[in-house]
Amino acid sequence: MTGGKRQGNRPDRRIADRSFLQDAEKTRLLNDLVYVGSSLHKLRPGDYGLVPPSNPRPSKSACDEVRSILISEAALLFRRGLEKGMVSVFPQGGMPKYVWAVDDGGEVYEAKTKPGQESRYHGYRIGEDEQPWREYVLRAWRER
Amino acid sequence: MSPSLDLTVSPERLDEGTPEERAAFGLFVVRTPAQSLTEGFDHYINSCRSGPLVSGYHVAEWLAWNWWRLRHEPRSNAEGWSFAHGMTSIGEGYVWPNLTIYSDGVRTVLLSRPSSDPKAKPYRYFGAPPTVVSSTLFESAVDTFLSRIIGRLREQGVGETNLDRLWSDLLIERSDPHLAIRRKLEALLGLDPGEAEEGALAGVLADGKDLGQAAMEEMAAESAQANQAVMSGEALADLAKTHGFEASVKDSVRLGASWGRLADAAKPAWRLGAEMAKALRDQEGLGGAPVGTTRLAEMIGTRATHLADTAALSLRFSFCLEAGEGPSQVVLRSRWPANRRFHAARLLADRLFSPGERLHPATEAGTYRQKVQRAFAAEFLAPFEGVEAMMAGDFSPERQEDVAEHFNVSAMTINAILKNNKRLVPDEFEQDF
Repeated sequence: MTGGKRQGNRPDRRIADRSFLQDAEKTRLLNDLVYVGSSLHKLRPGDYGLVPPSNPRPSKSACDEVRSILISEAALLFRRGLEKGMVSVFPQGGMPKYVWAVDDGGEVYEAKTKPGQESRYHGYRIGEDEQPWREYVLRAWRER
Repeated sequence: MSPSLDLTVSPERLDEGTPEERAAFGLFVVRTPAQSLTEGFDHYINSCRSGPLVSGYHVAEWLAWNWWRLRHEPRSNAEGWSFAHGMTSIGEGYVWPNLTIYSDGVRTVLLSRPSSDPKAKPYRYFGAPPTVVSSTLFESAVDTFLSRIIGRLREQGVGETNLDRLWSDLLIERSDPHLAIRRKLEALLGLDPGEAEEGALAGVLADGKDLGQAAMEEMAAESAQANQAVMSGEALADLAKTHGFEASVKDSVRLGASWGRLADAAKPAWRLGAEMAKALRDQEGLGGAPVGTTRLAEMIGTRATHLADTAALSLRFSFCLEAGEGPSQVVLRSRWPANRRFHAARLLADRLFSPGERLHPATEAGTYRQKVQRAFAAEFLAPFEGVEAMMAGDFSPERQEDVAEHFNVSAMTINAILKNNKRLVPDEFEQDF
């Protein structure tokens, strides 16, 4: 380690600055990234076509704890998040680990890459116990 | 205070996820001998568990990255504070314990709150009364946890991970005094490791050599609370010259040599401050009587007119700047006589508690040192026994005001004394652990 810099990376769950996502990169992400969902985060599997439809043994946040969300709405929210640049910082040409979005009712969602399939994302709701995070995402969403 | 703290992950199988996530997956429990801080109701098995099924890898990464802030940064309202101190900010899609961890530098608090939704799924946390451990014990519990998780990764055949690099960075930082002091300062400034500008850190460190390193750490914590830059030694000296008054250190009161004034992790700061005040009251033969402004001024080596001065001053904190053999300069931030008396008593406490430093700041930072000052000032100016006798079981705000007037302190001071001594119930974050 030299000077004050660390070799290890911050577990980076922060929204990138507004200027971070250039138009060309945004277009690339909108073309390449896809929302697929995960059975680990489903209480109500809906029309995702997941196999198995629900596999919720770990203590994973559910995306549908408040209401059912069909895949078309989830995919639209994901695209809106990308369009607004609501992504975590990532190396040029790479993929963001996180994408955030807010629905019309003010509910906050976080999408994350599928391990080993970095362009495929699944999402979950950010609940009331993460109030500082909800406010952080809502503020950024309103400002963009 | 709890004698031990354990963070454990009992292995369970996870069918998907990164290799490190799967290797460290299991039942995550944070517990003391008295209670589990992670206990809750698991919706899927329709039963209680001592903790959630999550990956310890993410917990370990979060603890390693935030180690300096968890270990040294006091409670603050600063933006971003909760991301470094609240476990729910770990992310990764798990329902993390609603556990907030912070330290006053000597003692660490773990606040486990219940899930806000009584029907929360898939895991509803029960919460627990605040757990307080010595900060060195917290350090040791985290070290053990991180080592276990890294051991699990190796055992499961997972090669070097980001956690290995973070852990290695942390060990180097902790073992190198030059780096350790920078990391500690960054944490007190409310910054992540490597976030502070080197020039700003160098300025604080240089002032620390002249004014006292611990005093400048208090100034760093103060600046984080106020979201402003740390005031330099030069700016403090200018301020003292313009707005200060003289006080003679050699004429100020001292506690007998038998008094042990060291910070003690087994003792809340407020208790140490109150004990120090009682010792000084006994030594000075004050009994239970109010301390007059003239007597208080004599004790800090100055004149009563200085404490009664009501010139407005826009400053976030009070301080005393000592100058070797010459007179010290004292700056009191408030224009209200009762508050000026309180701040003068805090500065007196700091001279007793932290002798040998040139700078004695009385800030709003939630450090052990500042809490000692506040408790000392409250007990010294308004001893609890006398306050309680006057209240005579009537703890109404009106009565608190009457008692405050008698002792020439603010009603807020009386309120804090009653809360510290459990005559009134403090709010969660008002409790002075």
